[in-house]
Amino acid sequence: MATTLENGKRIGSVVGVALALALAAWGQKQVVPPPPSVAWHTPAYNSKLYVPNDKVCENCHRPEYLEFEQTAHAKLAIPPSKVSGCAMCHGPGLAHVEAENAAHGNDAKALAAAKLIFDFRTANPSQVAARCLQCHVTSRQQQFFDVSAHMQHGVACNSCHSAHLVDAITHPDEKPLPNPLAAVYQVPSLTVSQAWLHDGQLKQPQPELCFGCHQNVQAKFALPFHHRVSEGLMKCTSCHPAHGTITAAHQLNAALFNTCTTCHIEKQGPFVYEHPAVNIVGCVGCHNPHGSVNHFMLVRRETRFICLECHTGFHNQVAVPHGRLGFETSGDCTRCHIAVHGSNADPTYLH
Amino acid sequence: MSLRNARVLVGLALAALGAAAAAQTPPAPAAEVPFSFSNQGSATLGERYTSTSGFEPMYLELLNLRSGPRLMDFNLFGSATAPHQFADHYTFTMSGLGGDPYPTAQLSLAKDGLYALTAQWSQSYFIYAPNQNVILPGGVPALTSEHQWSTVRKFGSLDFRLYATRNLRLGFQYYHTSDTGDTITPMTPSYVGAAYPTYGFFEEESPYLLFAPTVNNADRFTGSLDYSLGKWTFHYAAGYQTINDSTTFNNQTSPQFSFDTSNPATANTPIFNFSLSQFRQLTTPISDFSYTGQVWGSVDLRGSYLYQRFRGPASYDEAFNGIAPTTISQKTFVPYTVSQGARANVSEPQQVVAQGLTWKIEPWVSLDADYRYTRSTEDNLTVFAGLFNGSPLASNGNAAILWTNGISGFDTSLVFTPLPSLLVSPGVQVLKTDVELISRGVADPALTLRTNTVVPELSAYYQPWQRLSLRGNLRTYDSGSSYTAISPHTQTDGMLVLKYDVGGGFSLSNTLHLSSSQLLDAAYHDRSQANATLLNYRFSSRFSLYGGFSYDGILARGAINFRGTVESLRDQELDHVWQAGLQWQPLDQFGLQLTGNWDHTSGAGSITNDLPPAYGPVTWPYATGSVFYVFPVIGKLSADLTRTYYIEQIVNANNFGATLFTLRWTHSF
Repeated sequence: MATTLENGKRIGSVVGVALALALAAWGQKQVVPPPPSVAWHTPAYNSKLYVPNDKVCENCHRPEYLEFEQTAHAKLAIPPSKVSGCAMCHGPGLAHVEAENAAHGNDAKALAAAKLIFDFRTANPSQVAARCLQCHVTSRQQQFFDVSAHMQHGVACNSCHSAHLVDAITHPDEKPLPNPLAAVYQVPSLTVSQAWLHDGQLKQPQPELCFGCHQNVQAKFALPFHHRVSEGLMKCTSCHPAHGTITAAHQLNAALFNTCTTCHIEKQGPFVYEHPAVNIVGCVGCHNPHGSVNHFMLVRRETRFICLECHTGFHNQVAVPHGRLGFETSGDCTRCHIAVHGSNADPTYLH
Repeated sequence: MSLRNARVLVGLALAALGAAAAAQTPPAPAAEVPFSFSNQGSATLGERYTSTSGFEPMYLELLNLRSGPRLMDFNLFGSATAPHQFADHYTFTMSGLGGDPYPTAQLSLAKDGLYALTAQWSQSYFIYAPNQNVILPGGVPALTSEHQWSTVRKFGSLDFRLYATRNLRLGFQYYHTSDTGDTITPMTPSYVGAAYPTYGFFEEESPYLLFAPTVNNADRFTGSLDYSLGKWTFHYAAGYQTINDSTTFNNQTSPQFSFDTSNPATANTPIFNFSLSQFRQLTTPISDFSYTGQVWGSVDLRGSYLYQRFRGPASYDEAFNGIAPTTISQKTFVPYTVSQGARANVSEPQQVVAQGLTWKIEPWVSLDADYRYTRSTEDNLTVFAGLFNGSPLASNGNAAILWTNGISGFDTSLVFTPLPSLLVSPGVQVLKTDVELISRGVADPALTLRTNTVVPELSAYYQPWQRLSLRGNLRTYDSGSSYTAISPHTQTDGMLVLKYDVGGGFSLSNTLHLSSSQLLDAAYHDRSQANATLLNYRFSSRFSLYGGFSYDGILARGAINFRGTVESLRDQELDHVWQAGLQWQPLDQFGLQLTGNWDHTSGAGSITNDLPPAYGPVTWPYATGSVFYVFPVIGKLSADLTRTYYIEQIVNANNFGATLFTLRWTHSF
């Protein structure tokens, strides 16, 4: 059913619920998340370099224009003396427009004309990031993208984000297949274009977007014990700053081990008796946070093996104080040492 | 699904339909209606039928999808149709309400250029009740952890941003989380500092299962300010967090016996009463500052300073009595009474200072240099007081423990982009780590270590043509020593990601991870290899399929000293994951979808001259088929069928099978 309510009139008839959502997403003024940047930095408008308005761009790039128009980028309150619209990101376009007009169907000239404006698809990752960071460097979340692990591996802004999602116009209801666990939980998903508009203009929703490169992580989340990312409770960005950080090592949202204790507050130290493995090595010494075939996402099939790999009696490690094959060494060590994350009462973590 | 939940669900459904009806009602002229929005959205209601066989608690731990009606999804988006309203846009979404394990809800309101408000809520139910009656091949009882939990973790947050001026943003954030529920926990009723001959050998090693409800919660308030001036931007956030953590332990019956039935003395050593109460509170002021700026045209500066301090009291009060042996020989049993308690004060300030710069030397090369210093200092003091059969414990008194952990890190790298399709970034990281533990004023050499580490690293990205891209890195790590075996002193790891768009609807991607680490003086080696491949085929917008395979293997080898008996440890785990999916929509109104996953893990751990492994190969397949039809006016009806098994090969006491059938109705408006 294609429905437009903006003017209080109900029109259209039933042609498919999913298609209707996507069409409605185009046809209406959209709910757009607030921009992350504190301020925009665009150059002064110069009529010798810039086209007078975006309608000129729309003549040739109508799909891109229609989608861009729905975004927060198009709604910035920029005074006429400053560059706005398409030119904010693509730069001066007058030479490009004039060259395209002069090409008159000549492919070689049209190709040359295409190079007269900044094209994010052919620019290198550093150039792309530099364009976006002109404004987004003022964002608390994105200010360090320039030195992020993503950037150092050539993952530029447009690897994950799309300022105009042209594919959604071609296939408005096209959705990526859910991963099998999401299908079990019937995790709800919006149409591609709605998800794009409501979630930072990402090309795909999380976690599928991240799984596009981090497939080994996707496989971890498919194991029996995992954080509930595929189920829709968490996102990859719940723990990882996709745009980088200089405060925390290991690409985590918080310094030291506070990323985990943001939710697992009962594990938050300090404790009078810290377990050095927790305090120095961190949670990942014993747990695989993405997923594992073992209870509690432990890194070994048998819990005691984790303990026995450190408590060897060598290299200043406290030896196992129990005899081989005893009751104490046959089961899980945590059967008695229940406070392995730290204790305020017992140096052996029994209480 | 309780009747109360069903009522709630019906109410929500009516509310959703009411909202839909309201959305379809033509609004009055904008100027006359103060609350005038154009709305769109959808609601999905469903009924799930679940049937399980085998050990159901394991099903609840892994999936926990139960029978009953659900509000599976509700989303509503609105935009103001008249000026001067309190908001220009809003969104309201809910999912999984009515009994699913991970319900969520979110409300967002925004007025362009003035404010944005987002409120979120979610819950996560966790059940852990493994089968404790596990018998190994050969009839040997396999001892488990004996823990059981049924808890719920709740999350709520509020985020308000006020756009004060064109370059000033003020914010207020509130975050709440809690974890509550009942647990069954083993506890060894020993007293702190007990010596075997004094107390008797048995009690120290005899755990009893106690009922231990737990309540913990955290609240964090944060105010923030973001300000941009020219090429400089500053962010500051100040907050305050409180954590309360409380658990009580009590015996379940009286008298109660240890679950260690392998020891004949168990029948002679009951406990009569056991009560333990532990509580702690941590308060934390938080201060977080960061900035970026440009000093010259080619040099960007960045920096940050984070300070937070966890501090608070902790208490521990325990009393228990029973019968225990007086000697290791366990021939004489006598009554005993223990009471003990501790009052502690803990404090841990954490500070992270970071400062970096990027120098854009040429358009195709830049230099990044960053220094970060992280320091945490724990200053903990506890006072013990206890009685054993009316006599003071030898451990009574104070314990003062001071931990300091300082890490200085300097990273520098060059980023070359000689071609649009090529990025190469060689770099080096230098780390200096100082860990020191002082207990009762004396440095502990076993837990004090200073290391210097150099980590050369190479990252690269290459896209030789539009359809093919390669990303990877390689690094080696050598600290010359190691704090624990799991933080080994040498490590080499690498990663390669390949993405290839073959054309004709085919695409291929592959991810490879390799890692090898060693702790030389303990002869400990740990190697892991992981590879994941995914194939996608999109014939048209109506038909697509994918298939993937991943392999992840670890192999650890070392030696263990059991009171002078040295044994070899070998642990191997090979995880295989196959995934496949198909989507076919022959008609606009009709379509189907199939997805499946097959996990299989092989390998096991072994110790020479030890018991056979209790945990080894596991297989966990699950597959879902879904078919839908879109009816005029009514909406979309879907039927989903999921089948899954969990199969442990050595110990099969936790195995289960389950079938889930779900009917869903989606109505859009």
